[in-house]
Amino acid sequence: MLKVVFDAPLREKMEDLVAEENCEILQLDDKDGILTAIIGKEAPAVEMLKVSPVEDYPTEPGCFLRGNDYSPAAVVVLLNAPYGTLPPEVQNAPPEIEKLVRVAVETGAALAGTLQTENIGIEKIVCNVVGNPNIRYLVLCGEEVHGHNSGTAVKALLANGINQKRTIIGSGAVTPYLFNIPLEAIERFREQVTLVDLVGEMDPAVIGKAVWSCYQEKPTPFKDYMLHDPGAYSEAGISCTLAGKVKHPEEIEEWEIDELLKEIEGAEAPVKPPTEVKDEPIARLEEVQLEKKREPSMIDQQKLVAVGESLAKIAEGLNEIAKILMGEAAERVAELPREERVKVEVRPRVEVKAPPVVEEAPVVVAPVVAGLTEEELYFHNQLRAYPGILAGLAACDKDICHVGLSLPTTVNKIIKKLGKLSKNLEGSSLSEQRRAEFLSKIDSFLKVAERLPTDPGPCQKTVGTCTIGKGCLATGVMDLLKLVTEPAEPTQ
Amino acid sequence: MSDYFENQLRGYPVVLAILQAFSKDICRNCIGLEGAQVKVEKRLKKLRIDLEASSVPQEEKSGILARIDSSAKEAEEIEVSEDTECQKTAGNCKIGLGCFCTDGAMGLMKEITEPAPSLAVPVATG
Repeated sequence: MLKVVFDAPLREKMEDLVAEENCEILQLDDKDGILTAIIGKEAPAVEMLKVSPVEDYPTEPGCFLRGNDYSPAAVVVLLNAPYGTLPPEVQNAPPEIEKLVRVAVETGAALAGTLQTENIGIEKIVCNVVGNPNIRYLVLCGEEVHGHNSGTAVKALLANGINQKRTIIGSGAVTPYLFNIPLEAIERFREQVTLVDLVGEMDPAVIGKAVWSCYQEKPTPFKDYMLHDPGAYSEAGISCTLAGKVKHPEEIEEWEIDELLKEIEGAEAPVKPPTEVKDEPIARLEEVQLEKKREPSMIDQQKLVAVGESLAKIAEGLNEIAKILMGEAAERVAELPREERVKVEVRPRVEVKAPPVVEEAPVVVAPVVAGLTEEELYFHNQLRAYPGILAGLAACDKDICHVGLSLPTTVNKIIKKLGKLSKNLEGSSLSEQRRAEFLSKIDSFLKVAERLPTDPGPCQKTVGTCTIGKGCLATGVMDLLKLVTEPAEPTQ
Repeated sequence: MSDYFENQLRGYPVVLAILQAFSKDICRNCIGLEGAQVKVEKRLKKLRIDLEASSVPQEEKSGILARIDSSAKEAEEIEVSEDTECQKTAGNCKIGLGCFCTDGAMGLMKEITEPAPSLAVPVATG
């Protein structure tokens, strides 16, 4: 290295000279027009290992876009939406989430998608990441998923791994179980990727910058990280898919896990043996041919359209055949003498057993919320809690709560609340018809409530007959009302 | 010893009554109700296993077992659609983040904190 001090006007000539000598200015300081340059030989071209992902990559379908397979970054956007929404959400993800996913792929990520659940969702990510050894960073962004805490689960998985019960250690999630993927894949995932923790970040520019920083050849500062592309992981990709042993991990109770693990260990998920990593292609990152593949969801849609068209053609054909047969049958009937015709017409062609008597199912409340105004929705939602509350209180009434303090107190509160709701309804701007509907519901709830005890007795804990602890079933039942948080109470 | 089982069994009729009530609402088509139903069934099954392994006198045991079975039957009879999906996602449930079945009904069991299960449930060995 060489340190050279020169006047500012000579900068251009100095740069030419440095270039002629196949050197580069490593550092340049300007102090009052006097430049100090540190000059060194140009670094040799960076060569790094890039490999092809496993044949069936990405091995797991999901809510993601596929970008540049040779990129070192995968982006996971946390999808803070109610439970059970994953598959349909592909089309319905909030625009700001979709934007993050798109920006990530457009900036150069290998994969970018959403994560919702702390079990199946993470398992899918693990499968798709270990299938592509080029992925070395997991950029985790978006708002934490309420209830699931999937973001903390991903972080805990990378930091601590899983325990013998296949539960992510130190995760704040409720059911962070990884039952469906091989242990080998989990370990590989943890070794292969480094976390870029951007949980809470929703700015597309920041996510884009993170992805860009990940594929730089030279260490590049990004927030608290120093990022660069270290090349593919030293071992070949692992092809694995979810074994499907546990489709609803959220329903697993802790006491069941041991038994479940015995079954899983008996039939571990199949892992295709990894092929050896070929030394070639070894290439500079920019020399790699980037092949952006079509999005899996688009392929699926095209297949569906094709299948739909085929089915429509078949249906059309069958329809034609049916018309011909019906025509022929009608002609034959017409040819018969009248008596015979009657016989033919009334004779059942196929003996059909009478269907079993099925009890009529109770009417499910129609999903009418789409057409409700904000004010109507408020009353609709408030009233939805009461059937549950009243049923719960009626069940308490069959227990020692019948002669206790809390049940009558709660019933009285419920009556008051229904009264207030009724008053609010009368002062609302709802249509007469809608108001009458809601008032009629309130009246029916009041009738049920009034049949429950309203005269307080002694607290059954004090008496010594209720020994459940500090909690109370009757007051607990009323907490159902607290679950209704939207929309806010309309101002009168 | 039987207090643990008795107290646990005081919660289930209330939980089940609530779930049954919500099965008449849109919750009938909801994964939340389905999940809660499965959880209740499993917990009752576990309660049965623990009771059988406990030192509760046989006579009392039979009475408690009958109550467990009766609750299990009730749980099984809760009507849930075959194809369920989160009704918030479907756009039919707009009460907020909470869920009547998983948070509300199931949450009620948390009111029962005494006696601790370790006092009643034998510790597995081996």
